[in-house]
Amino acid sequence: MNDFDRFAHDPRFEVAIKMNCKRYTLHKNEPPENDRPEALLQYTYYELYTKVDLSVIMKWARAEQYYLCTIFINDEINSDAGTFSMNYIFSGGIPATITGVKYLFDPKEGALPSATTLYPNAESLEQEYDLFLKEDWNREQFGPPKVLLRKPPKGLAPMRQDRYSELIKHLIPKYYHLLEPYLDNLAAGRTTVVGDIHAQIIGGGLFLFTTDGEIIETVSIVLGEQFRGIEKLFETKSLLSGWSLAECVAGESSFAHSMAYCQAVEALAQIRPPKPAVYWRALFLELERISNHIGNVAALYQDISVDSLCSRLLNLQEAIYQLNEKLTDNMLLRGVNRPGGIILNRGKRDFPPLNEIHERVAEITYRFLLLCEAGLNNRGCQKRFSHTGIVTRQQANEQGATGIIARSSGEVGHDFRILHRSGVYQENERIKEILNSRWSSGSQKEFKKKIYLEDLIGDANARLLLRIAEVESSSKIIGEIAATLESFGEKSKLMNARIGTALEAKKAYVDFGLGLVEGWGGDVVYWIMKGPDNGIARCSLRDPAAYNFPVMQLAVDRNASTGNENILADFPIINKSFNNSYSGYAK
Amino acid sequence: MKPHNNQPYYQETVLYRWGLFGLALENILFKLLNRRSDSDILEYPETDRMEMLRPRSFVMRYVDCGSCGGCELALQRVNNPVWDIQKFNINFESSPRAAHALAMIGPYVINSTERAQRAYDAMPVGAIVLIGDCTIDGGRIRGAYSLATRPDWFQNPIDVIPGCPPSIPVIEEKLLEISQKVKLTPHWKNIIKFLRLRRYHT
Repeated sequence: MNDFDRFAHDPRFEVAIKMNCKRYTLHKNEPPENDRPEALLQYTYYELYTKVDLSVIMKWARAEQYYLCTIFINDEINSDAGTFSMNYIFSGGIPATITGVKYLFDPKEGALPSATTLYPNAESLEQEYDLFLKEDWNREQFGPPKVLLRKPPKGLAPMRQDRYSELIKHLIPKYYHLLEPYLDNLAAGRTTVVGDIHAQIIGGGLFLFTTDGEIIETVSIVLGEQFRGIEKLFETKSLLSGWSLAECVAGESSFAHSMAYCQAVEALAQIRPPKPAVYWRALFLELERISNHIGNVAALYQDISVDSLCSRLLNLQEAIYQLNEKLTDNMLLRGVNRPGGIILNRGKRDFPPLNEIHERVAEITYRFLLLCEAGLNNRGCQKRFSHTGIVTRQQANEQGATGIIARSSGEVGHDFRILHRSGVYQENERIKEILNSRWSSGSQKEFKKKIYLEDLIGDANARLLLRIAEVESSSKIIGEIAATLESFGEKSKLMNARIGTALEAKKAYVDFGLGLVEGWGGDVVYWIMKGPDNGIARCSLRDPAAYNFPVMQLAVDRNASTGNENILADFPIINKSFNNSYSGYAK
Repeated sequence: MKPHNNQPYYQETVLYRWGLFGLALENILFKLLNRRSDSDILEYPETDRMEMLRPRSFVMRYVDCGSCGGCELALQRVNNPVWDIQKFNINFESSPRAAHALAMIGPYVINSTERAQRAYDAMPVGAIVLIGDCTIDGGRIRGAYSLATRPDWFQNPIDVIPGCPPSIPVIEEKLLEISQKVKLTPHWKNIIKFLRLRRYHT
């Protein structure tokens, strides 16, 4: 509850950290820097037993402006601890490191501490506590969360270790969480319900607007239609075969999710994938980013009814999809990542050589930039995009926005390719330069519009400009990667490392691994704990949509202090400029 | 990087100064001056079989039953200017009341049962198409506790499009077959009989 405020002026908090908690490092005998597995980050780990230290550490983290990566509960009945544990993972400091905080608690206690006073983005993650706890855990004191999630009924606790799916299915009633409870108590004459199913080929959620004339005052978002219980399903898979399920969480960013999963397993085994695999992974990640950004810009122009630009941009997205299919037989790059490396059939008939990949991507970006320049010079489009859905820098910082939304609000350094460098982004100097200069694009002669920091005020225009800049920077990165891959020569045939024996040597219910990837919408975080027989005891995943949906609510609501006023027709533009994945939020 | 044939793709027009007239003119001139297609970087030809299976109309309603979004991207891709299924008169519309079939995507999850049931009840002819591996038998999500028991109408689809996500030529061919098949189901025969009777009496 208000544990954090009691220790606001406690001068002893530094002493408390040293005395009352144990400190671990992930590896006792750390190998020298050159051999350190690239998926591992400098990791310090605090284990706590009392609430005092937890509040102190949280206050300190917030004061140092640490970014909260995930929160999750772990049922550790089978390990030495024997109880439940709440885990917080932060990233912060210069150079950026990861700190993890683990707080052991007894599930029969009523009141659990909540991090929402300091980290509002924790709300969407704390809604999943209900999946572990049978009784209420004192959540009502904070009021309803910003984005409601339809979850299984209370008392079920499906994520516990002693529950399995057949047992749970008998306990779930036939229908639950119908639409009616959300449609009660609406202000008569002033609400608009944009319902469960949406008009085009798009999966959606329920949006309830309260309007003052045309202007939106507030919106309440109800999600969770795509709730599949994937975290529980991971426990039926083995470590080496779970990547297929990780791709299924969010189809748009399936490569980023599978890459984070594989990095977590490699961190668990302390095995480093071979260099060609690392470079190919980065190449595919950037390809995914380009295809999604182009599609997003096309959809934005479709919402404004500029179909001429939309259809031409969809042609370019189609070209990228066809390139994907030539490389991997799958338009979403599925089936490529494995723990230990990748699997690529380079002997295929249509497999293009590396310089041809680079040329195609470069031509596609050239045409993309020309089309976008036409759109940006059009004043009608500018009027629709500018000053709609403003998210200020302070809001993005406090509410914990990630990815494009944080960068377009002014926090341009919030990119996990820059902060936690690993692999390609650590070794190649030119790629670092490219990433640091995204917002001063205009190096191509024909694209005259430059993107300056002053343009990044957090509206839909800023997000559009930043997506264009990211496409450009991604194509340059692909060029660099292709050049280095050609220089490898014969070594580039080795793509996969043996990981099975290293995994068997690890202890079940004790060893864990963390994987962090900057996907096209933000950072994807996977935490995996090993179970018996090379299985998975707990897999906790976090998609960037979990942080960006509440921020979208802020962008839509009327806010006099920031001057944010949107009409009902602006909502599709805001929704599309954020482009959070509904299935990533409700996993 | 220059394009490989040294020709400009787009000529800049400075018509925005002429206001709305300029915008309209710009749209017309954009289409006229940029007729060069992207066929030099795209490589799938249309087969003769597709010419034969021509244009019966087919209207579908998209219903998401808990999918990941991959099949959604595939269906959005089929409506591209490149893979244009609208030329075969296959459209995705927004009302189930005017739909010939429902396109169900995703494993049938508890949180989406009500929505799917309402969409099915609103249809004049109950016809279902299942798209994606998840929809058919659960796919990668087989065995999860959130999958609901499927009603009878969900287990009797007209046809099924497998794949994760299904590839575009497969979607196109299957949809063409289904647009033929759906008019041969018993429901449709009754409706056609009724229409014939009406026309006879008038």
